[in-house]
Amino acid sequence: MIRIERGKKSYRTDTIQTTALNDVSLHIKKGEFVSIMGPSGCGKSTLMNIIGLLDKPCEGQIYIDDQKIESYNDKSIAPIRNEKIGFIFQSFHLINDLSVLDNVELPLLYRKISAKERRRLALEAIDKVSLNARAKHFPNQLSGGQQQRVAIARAIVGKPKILLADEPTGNLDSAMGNEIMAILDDLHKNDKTTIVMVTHDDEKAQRTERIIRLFDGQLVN
Amino acid sequence: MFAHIFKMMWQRKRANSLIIIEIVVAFIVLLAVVAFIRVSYQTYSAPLGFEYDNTWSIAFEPDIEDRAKIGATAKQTLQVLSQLPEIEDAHTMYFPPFIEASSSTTIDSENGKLYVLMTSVSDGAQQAMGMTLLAGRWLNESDNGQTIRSVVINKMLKDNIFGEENAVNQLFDYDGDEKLRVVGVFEDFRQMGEFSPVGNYMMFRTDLDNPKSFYRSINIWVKPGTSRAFEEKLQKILHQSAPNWQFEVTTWQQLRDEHISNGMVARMIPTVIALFLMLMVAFGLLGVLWQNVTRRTQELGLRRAMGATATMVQMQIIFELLVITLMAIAIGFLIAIQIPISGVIEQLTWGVFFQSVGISTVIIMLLSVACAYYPSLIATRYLPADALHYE
Repeated sequence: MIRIERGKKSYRTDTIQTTALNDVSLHIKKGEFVSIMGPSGCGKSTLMNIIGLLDKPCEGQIYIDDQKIESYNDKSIAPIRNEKIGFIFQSFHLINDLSVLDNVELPLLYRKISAKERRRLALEAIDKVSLNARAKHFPNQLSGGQQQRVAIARAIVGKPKILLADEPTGNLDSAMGNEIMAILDDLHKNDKTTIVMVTHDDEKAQRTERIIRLFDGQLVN
Repeated sequence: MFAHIFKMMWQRKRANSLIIIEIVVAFIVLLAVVAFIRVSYQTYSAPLGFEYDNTWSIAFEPDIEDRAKIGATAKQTLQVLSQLPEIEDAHTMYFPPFIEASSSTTIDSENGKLYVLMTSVSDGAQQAMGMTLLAGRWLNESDNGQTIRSVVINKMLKDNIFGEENAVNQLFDYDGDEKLRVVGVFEDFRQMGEFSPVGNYMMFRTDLDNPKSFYRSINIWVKPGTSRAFEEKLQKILHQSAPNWQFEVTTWQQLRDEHISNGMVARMIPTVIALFLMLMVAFGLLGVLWQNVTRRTQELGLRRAMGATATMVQMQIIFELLVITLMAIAIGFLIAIQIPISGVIEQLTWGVFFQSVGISTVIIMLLSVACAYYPSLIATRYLPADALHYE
């Protein structure tokens, strides 16, 4: 489902070059629920961004849904991001000026579907995260846990095969974190979604099928 | 997609209203500058109604002791000048053209009070100046001794007093109880030059045989090719005719050059102030729009993470700003249109107003597109991963 071959990423400033990922090869199978763990600055988020095509590796090959990413041209990768990948961010990244319903509809705006169908799919996704009563609310009227549930609804509204969650519970208290984990578990078990989750929380990581550990930009297990 | 954009704009109405106010101010300032330039150009390029080549003006200051003899002395001088081989024609005129001095009066008409400039010239002066007669005749000796004084008027004054009717031989009220008879209608005579507004004008006859006639200048039409060296000879002849009088000789071309130079300076100051104001407004607008786009960098990164291409995102930003700009222009237009409706500025005709609105709209739209294009280009150059963490 997701394959990285000898992935390398480094950042260069005027005086220093920092290697964020060093020769990482990785294979995540279809329907797998994987967590990525490691200390701060070990390259977890970089790995996640590269898998999600939000960032470009300096070297190496990426395969998403068995399709080799030949070009990082915007026009070629935008449809892959839109159709195959759903993102959940630690800081939610909701648009405060849009209602819950409109936020959830966002990925569908970049597909050729009718407004009616968009609304139907958004309401269906909101229902999945049990936020029907809050569909007309705005993000700043919701708790942190509710905001993250909106972000999950937005990530799954386009029925992507891959869900990438970058510390989805990082900004939430334990109870809310558990709620989010329950939703991710549900999506994995019932919808067979491939989920890759970055976490610092060992307990949350234990709930996944496989833990990938990173240290200084390299896989350690 | 459009519904989504309009929804976003509505939700951001507070921030957008500030941008709208900024654009309304920019639009009105620009409209004022464009209209001012347009009106000035229209005035400048309107026909003068006379020719100024090879014409010299002799302004004279009579000797105080000789006041009673001004008419006779000037007439004698005129006759002497007419006989010089370098001179084709010579006429008196109250004030020569291109100087900021003229006689004026107000005349009551059906269209209200009319402000009218006027002068007095000797017979044949209009022909010498190459003026165009549209109806009737020029003033001549047959106007001597009439109980009702004769005048020739320009087309604008004729239209303002008589409308479409034939004005020749018609009377109109002048200066209280007096009535004047129109004997001819001419195209125009913009005595104060290219920068003066196109206005009402009338000409009286100077009767050189009447010792009470008063005028301030003699104007001579020299043969083509006559050089300024002739001035020396001219001064000698003038002093022989009237030894105690002061004469100042200038060509009409010289007077025109001075008029244009003074007019340019007078217009340059408000133009520079207006351009400076425009520049300030443009920078203000650029700053506001730039900040508006830059602070949305995270949102733009999010949209790209959700599947939008950089071009889609950029087009959305430009479209939003164009809609905001059009709304601001509509508000600015509604404010600005009050001026031509009220008729406060006579020269601001509907044609000039709408042309100025068109030009200002295009400039403001281009400015807005530029202000949206560049910062959105920079914002979309970030990789989505970087844009999402942009602070």
